[in-house]
Amino acid sequence: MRILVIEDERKVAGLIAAGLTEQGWAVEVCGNGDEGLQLAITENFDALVLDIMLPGRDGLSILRKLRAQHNPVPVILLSARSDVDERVAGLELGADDYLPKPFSVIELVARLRAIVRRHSGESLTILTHADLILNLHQRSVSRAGQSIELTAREFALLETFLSSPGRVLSRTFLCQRVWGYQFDPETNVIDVAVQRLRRKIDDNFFPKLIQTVRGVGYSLAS
Amino acid sequence: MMKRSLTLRARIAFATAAITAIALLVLALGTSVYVYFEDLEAIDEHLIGEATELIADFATGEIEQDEFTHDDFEPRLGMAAITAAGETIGITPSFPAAVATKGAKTPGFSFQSHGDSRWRVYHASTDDIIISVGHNLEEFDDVLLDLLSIQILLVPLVALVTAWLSWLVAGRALAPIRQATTTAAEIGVGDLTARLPVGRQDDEIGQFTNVLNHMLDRIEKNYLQARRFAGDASHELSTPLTIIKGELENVIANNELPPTAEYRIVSAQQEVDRMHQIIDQLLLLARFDAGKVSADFTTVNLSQFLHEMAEDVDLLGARSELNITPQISPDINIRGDAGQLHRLFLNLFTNAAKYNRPHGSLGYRLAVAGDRAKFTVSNTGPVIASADSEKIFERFFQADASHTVHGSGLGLSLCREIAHAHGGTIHLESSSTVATTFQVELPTITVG
Repeated sequence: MRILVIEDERKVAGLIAAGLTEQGWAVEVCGNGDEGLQLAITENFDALVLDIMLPGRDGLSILRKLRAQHNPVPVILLSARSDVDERVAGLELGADDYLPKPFSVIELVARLRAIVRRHSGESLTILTHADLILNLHQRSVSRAGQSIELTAREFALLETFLSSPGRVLSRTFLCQRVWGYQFDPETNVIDVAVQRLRRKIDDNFFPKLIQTVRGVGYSLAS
Repeated sequence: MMKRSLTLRARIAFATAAITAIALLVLALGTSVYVYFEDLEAIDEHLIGEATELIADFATGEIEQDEFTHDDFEPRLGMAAITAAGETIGITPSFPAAVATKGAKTPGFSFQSHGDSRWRVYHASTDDIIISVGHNLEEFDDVLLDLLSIQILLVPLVALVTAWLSWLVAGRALAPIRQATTTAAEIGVGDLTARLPVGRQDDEIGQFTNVLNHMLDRIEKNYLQARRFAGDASHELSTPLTIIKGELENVIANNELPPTAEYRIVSAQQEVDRMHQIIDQLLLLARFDAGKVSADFTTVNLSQFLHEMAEDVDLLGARSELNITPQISPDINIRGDAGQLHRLFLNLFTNAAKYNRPHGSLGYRLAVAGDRAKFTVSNTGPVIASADSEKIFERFFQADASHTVHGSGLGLSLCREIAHAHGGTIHLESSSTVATTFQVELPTITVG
């Protein structure tokens, strides 16, 4: 996969590039709006990561120009303003997703994956891991042939684990992915939710799938 | 308590009337006193003249026969002659003997009363007779009293007219102030761009409005600056936060740290998240202040909405193993922004779970009262002093000054802004050792 990152803040661009490269993707970074637009028009990318505030042409204007030329490349907008209006404007212009700063690079990777998949028409309906099967379409889960009842949050949590096997997922990340907002860290909501999920999918089975990474978070055993 | 006071206009009218009344009263009394003494002096001179004439008549023996028999010429004048032994030589018919003889031995003027009438009496004596001349003061008193009454009766009338006139004049003079008040009230409701109308520049009111307008210019400028500052600061902070977040994630992902260092990084990550949350709240508050919150109002089935939050409430209460008791009336609809409402309720639920004791209780209830949806959430938490019941909605206020329980101190002020933006209210209903209860009221709508 080849991704174009248009972001003028060098450190942010560097972090994004590092995170995406880690996924085995090819990354092109550009720090100027006009040059970014040129690149996006002349070369082929699987997706664009586009900051809204840029020197030269701003992100929304780049997006407008691309869509006016019927360029369908998937676009994720980044913005320092978590402004509802800006979000709506961006999505109306044809952005595929919108990520307010500060964001986590893991989150960006997950979203990029989702929009590229959506774009290519490929739709995953079944996720499996060992003897665990999660059906996104029917919203059902089973392990070793036994059907398991999960609540809405538990289901979303398991889906998140299944899409990043082997990777350490921090509480913050799980919270962002599953709830879309933050809880007061003192309320231990994430730990409680993971424990409940474990009770249902791990307690009566072997091997144990969800592992605690002490101090950091959780991971799905690979 | 404020003492109820009259308007300036009423006070001006009242004061003018009072001053006029006092002036008129003083004038009336002064005139009366002056007239009284002037007239009395004239009477006295007349009495001396009559007495002298009578003494001269006696001296020359030219006493006419009818001297004391009638008083047709001067009906108010009384004359009498008495011997030194007290025997009456002659007395005019209307002159009461008692008046004539009383004090006859001491010459000079005196006042005598007889029945209803008052007399001014002059006594003069020669070696063998005493002359007594009196003036009946009945008419004199009547005239004076009439004069005084008329003047005193006129006082309230004139005072009323003065009050009315000065009410009109004060009203005209104060009109610019009233206009200024209306404009200032409008500014109070949020329109900082409004200015007071400037009429005449050269009078006191004109100068006053000018000064006020200059002050408003400065307030508007400072307010805009402060507002922009909160917004700008939040934006500027989001990029460095992204970088810190990313770097910390990388450190952890590379798995190259001893566990103790890892623990510290995770702790730093949590603080970054908290900072993110505070910035987020500040930004939203700044936008509420600016009246620029873009709300996406739709019909929200609040009952359903709270049912969907039930799992999160359950998760929030799990750490302290709280006994959670929801009580939700079905199908209560409101107009609202789902994102903001979520923030509002999550905040209240988080507080109710966080400020609680192990195995405590967390109850929430949604019901309709008239055209309002009434939501209450109660917990077994620390008692909030009634003195703090309003302060807890202020920014950065924390009832627990030691900050032993973390929180930004912005949550409840945001809740209040959100409730107000929805045409509703939020307040602390009660707080005791039994339970602390917050109440949110939002206007309901009927869905056809």
